[in-house]
Order: sequence, then structure tokens, then C-alpha cells
Amino acid sequence: MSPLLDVRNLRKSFAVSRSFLAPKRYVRAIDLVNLSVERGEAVGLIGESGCGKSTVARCIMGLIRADAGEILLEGKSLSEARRRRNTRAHERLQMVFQDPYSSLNPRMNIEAILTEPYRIQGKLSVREMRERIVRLLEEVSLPSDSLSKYPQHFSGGQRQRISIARALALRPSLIVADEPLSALDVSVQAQIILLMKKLQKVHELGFLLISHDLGVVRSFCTRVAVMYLGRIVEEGTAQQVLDDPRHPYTVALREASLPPDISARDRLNKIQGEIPSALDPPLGCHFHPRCPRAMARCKSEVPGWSVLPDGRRVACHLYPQAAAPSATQSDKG
Amino acid sequence: MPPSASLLDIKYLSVAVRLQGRQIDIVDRVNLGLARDRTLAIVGESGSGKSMLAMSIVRLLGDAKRFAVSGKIHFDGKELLGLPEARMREIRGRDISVIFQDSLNALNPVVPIGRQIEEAISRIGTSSREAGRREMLRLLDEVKIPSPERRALSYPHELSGGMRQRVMIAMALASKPRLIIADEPTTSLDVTIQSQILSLLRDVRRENGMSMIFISHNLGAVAAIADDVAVMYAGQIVETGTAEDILSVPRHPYTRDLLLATPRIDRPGELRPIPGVVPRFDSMPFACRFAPRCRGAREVCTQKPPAPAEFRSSTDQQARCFFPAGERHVATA
Repeated sequence: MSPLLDVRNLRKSFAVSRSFLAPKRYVRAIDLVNLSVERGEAVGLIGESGCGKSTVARCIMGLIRADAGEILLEGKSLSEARRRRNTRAHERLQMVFQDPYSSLNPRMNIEAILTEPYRIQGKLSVREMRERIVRLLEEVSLPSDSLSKYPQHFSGGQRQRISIARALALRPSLIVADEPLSALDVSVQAQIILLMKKLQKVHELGFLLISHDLGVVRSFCTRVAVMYLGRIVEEGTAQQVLDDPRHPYTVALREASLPPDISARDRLNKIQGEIPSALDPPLGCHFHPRCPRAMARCKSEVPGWSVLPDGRRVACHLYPQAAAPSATQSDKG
Repeated sequence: MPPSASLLDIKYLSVAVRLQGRQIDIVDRVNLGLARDRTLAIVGESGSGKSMLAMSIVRLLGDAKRFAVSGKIHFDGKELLGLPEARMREIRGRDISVIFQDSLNALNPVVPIGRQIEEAISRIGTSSREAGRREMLRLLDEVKIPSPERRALSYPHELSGGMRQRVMIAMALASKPRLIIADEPTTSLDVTIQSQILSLLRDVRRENGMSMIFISHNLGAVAAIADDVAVMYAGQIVETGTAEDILSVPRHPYTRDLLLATPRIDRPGELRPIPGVVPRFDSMPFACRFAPRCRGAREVCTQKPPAPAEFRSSTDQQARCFFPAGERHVATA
């Protein structure tokens, strides 16, 4: 059976020009990304700002068009569906955004926000819509008197519940959530994580969670891919990648994710330098200028995928590459 | 500790805001001490009043007519609250420096960063221009900005967020202050950069023998840098103690629940949200402000406000709770 979401050889560059007459230069935001999500699976895509993780999400949602590659949902090409203006494909794919303040229309009350997907779909009667949205409110644990209220009457956490309810309206099979917790207070974050976990289970819902917070990803996701400057550098189960990271960049991210106990004191400043500009990425392995274990070949050769005995994939010269000549980064691992 | 060791002593500090003819308490009767050569973290979620508390110390609350500050702020032998504004400005330029979260807004966009640091240096004395320039380059080197001579000519927008925060730290150090107030200094930074900046803040504080108030909602950052911690909830300090005590044996139910609600890589299965939301300032619970969300709340918790309790095992730790975890000191305050 094909995976729920299958992202194949995705590429996306953005043109930037410093001045009107200067030749256009390109930022490679996504440089060959392969990623999949199974039915009912929660996959985390992690990395620091500028690594391209949000661009991946926006390509999947069709908010921007990829330069190359294919995105399949339930085996069907999404770009193909969009070309044919087949909106059915979109019903199966929904998004939750980071900012619960700007992603809800302040002039629409909750009833209008939640019925909008149904009105666009145009299949249900007013009474059926009403029944559905009452059930949606229950699912995200909002009081039933919320319908006539407006977004400004709700806290950040409650607004994110409304966003999730709206995403659930058309019974999607996949939700792409781009940093859905980073605008929320800690005490509320955990509520939303547990809500997403419940929905994942009840509806066999797949999640692609874009996040910079390794603790959040470890708490919610079963599989994780780590991105650095447009490339995925490590992928495996959350346990493998986050508990025992192997790529030096993942090791650095893990080290910099400070636990709330005094062991955090020994973890500071383990990684030097900053993420380089995507306009002028380092040759070879993008991470080599910051890598404590960089070797000569890291400066010139792009590492291919190594599959470790535990099954995870790492793109790093420290690990022996798979024997098959086809096991380069451009192939699916 | 003897009172002479204390650099800052805050007693019954309240900050109220005047809104539509009403006066609403944002910070409620805070008592807090900061010893010399130590870092005190003020931890809390958004709306806890932690930034208001810190900014009221240096009188940077904005429109003075809107805020009513009462209590005592004893700093280095002076009472700050009664000082005329001119004197207060001197103290802000010399004895107390502030580092803000948003370095892009805090720096002048049209002046090279080297000049801005030189201006901060010139404010404290009558050193020659040449000496000022030498000191500026030394500061850039101290905050580990590579090639200081060249970087001094950069404008703020040409620098990364991490580099700008280093410039902010250099400016804060320029007057050789006794106290640095850092308000969420790493919140908008990536984790690897956060780790570098936290390490830098810790080192410059130690090497210059200053004290620091570190305001954050991030318990990991607090764990990494703080000697002492004050936990704020809904405008009140609910627990104080050493960082080690607070993080390993929290006494107040809010502190304990906040730690349990923090998603951790090393404890993925133990996430437990805090039910409900932070109360609004215009409808504070009359007795214990955490009682509506507290799992251990009993009748008395909704009848009168609790006084701080001290503990037999640690004389420095105090929790504002009727039923704190652990054995209380016999004579409670």
C-alpha cells in the first residue's frame, strides 16, 4: 500500500535580486527532499529557522509551487489534482498554522469559521452543518456556547483548538501543522499535544509536525526527519534520532535543547558558528563549517545516505555508505 | 544571607495599570532579593507580570501616567522609587543595563553598531575618542564577534539575530554596570544560537562580577544560567529558592505542574498539562490565584490568600501555598 503522504525529490528555489539590474540569484530552500507519512502516523520535521522545513509544508499544501519533484497523497499526485482543479484532494489535506491570532478571521464568529469548509464543499444542509460543528467543538473540548463568539474572546490555546476543529471539518487524512505550539504558553502546549494525540488515534489521522522544539516532537511524533539548509540529514524513529542522534548536526541540536534541570548547565555552547546563508551554502556537506568532526572530504563531497543497522538513515561521511550504488541522496531510502 | 550582600532588595512592590478609570494590579506585592555576583531568574508564562516587574525596577514601563508603582526598590544603598527622573536616567546609563528580546528594535537602524557602542561608552565618562574606540573593539571581542574592526562598521540589519544580541550585550557591558536585566534575551533565537548566547551571558556576568536578572518563560534556559529562581504566576511570586531546589524539589503546585507540562526529550511519556488558563487581570481569584487550576486545592484555598511557607530542608526556599510539597519549617512566615 502506498504511504499516506509521499514527497519525492522535492526541490524549490526562490529568486532574489539585490538590485534591479543585478543578475538574479537563487536561494535553494529545498534541495532534494524525500519524506513520507504513513496512515495514522505522526512525523516530525525539525531544524532551525531557514532550514526549509516550512517551505516543505507550503509546497505540500500547494501554497507555493515546487520546482521539481512529486507530492502524492494516498497515491494520487497533488499537483495533478490541482491542475485539474480537483478540490476533493484538498479535503483530505489540512493545515494548522503557527499563529492562532492571525490564522482566524476576526470578523467571523466561530460558527462561520467552522461552517466555511462545508459551505465551500456545498454538500450539507444547514441542519447537517450545525450538527457537525457542534460535534467538532466537542472533539476539541470547547464549550458549546462558543459558536456565537468571535476569535478575540478566546485565549491562544482555545484559538488553536478552533484552528484544529476547522482543519478536522472535512475529515482529512493528513494534517500539516507548522509550529502549532510555539505561540502558546507551556502550560497550554501540553493540552494541545494531548488533543492532537487523541485525534490522531480516534481518526487514524496522519500528522506532519513542523517544529523546532525537540521536546514537543519527542512527545508527539513516532518518526523524525532533521533538516539543515534545505537537505534532510537524518531520519528514523523519534527514539533513534532524538535519544541517540548520529548526525553531528542532530547531536548539536539535541545538546542545545536544554532540559529543565541543572544538567542544562553543562550543555551550553557546544556548537560554534551560525547557520550559513542559503544564498551561498557551503560546498560538500552543508554542515561542515560548524561540524566538530568534519574531515577533508566533507568540504567537497555531498554525503549520500547511510543506512545504519537500526534502520535509520544518516547523510554523513562518518558512516559507511550503503553498498548499492543507487543509494545516493536522490533516491528514496 | 546578611543584608549587606544584597545588591537589590524589593519589598511589597506593586504595579497597577489604569484602564478606563479602573486600577488593575498587574504585579502584586512582590518581595525579592538579589545578592551580588549572582543570577536571579524570574520565570513565568505570558501575562504573569515578570517583564512588568523587571521594567518597573528601571522605570521603563512606558507611559508613566498609566502605571502606578508602589513599594520599595532598594538598589546598592539607594531607594529607586522616589528618585527624580534625571537621577534614574543616570542609573540606567551606568549602574543597571537592560537587554531586550527584540534586538532589531532596540538598536538604531541607521548607525553602525561600533558607533552605537562607542556612544554607550562615552555616556559614562570623558575618555578620548581613541580610548573609546579601543574599548569598543575590546567589547566586540569580549562578546566574541569575529573580526571586530570590520563588524564595527555593520548596520544592525546586516547582522544575524545572534550577532545583534551579542552587540546588545556589548552595549550593556559598556557602562560596567552592577546589574544587568535581560528580558527574554534568547527567545527569538534558534536553539544552537540560544546556547551560545546563554553561555556568553553567563561568562560575562561572572568575569565582570555583576549580578543579573534573567527573565524567561523557558525553564531549560533558566536551568542553564540561574543561581536563584523566582516563579511568577498571575502577578505574584509563588515560589523562590535556588535553581537547584526549585527544579529538583519544587514545593508549589504551579512550579511542579509547569515542570510536568514541559515537553522533554528524555521523558516523552510523562507529559501532563495544566488544566484551564491563566486568569485575566481584571478577574483574579480572590484567594490563591492558582486554586482554580490546582489539583490539590481544598476549601481554604478559595477562602483566603496563602502566606509564604518555608521548609525545614532548605531555608532559602519559600512557596506561597497552604499545602506545599515537603515538610514545612515549624515557624512559618
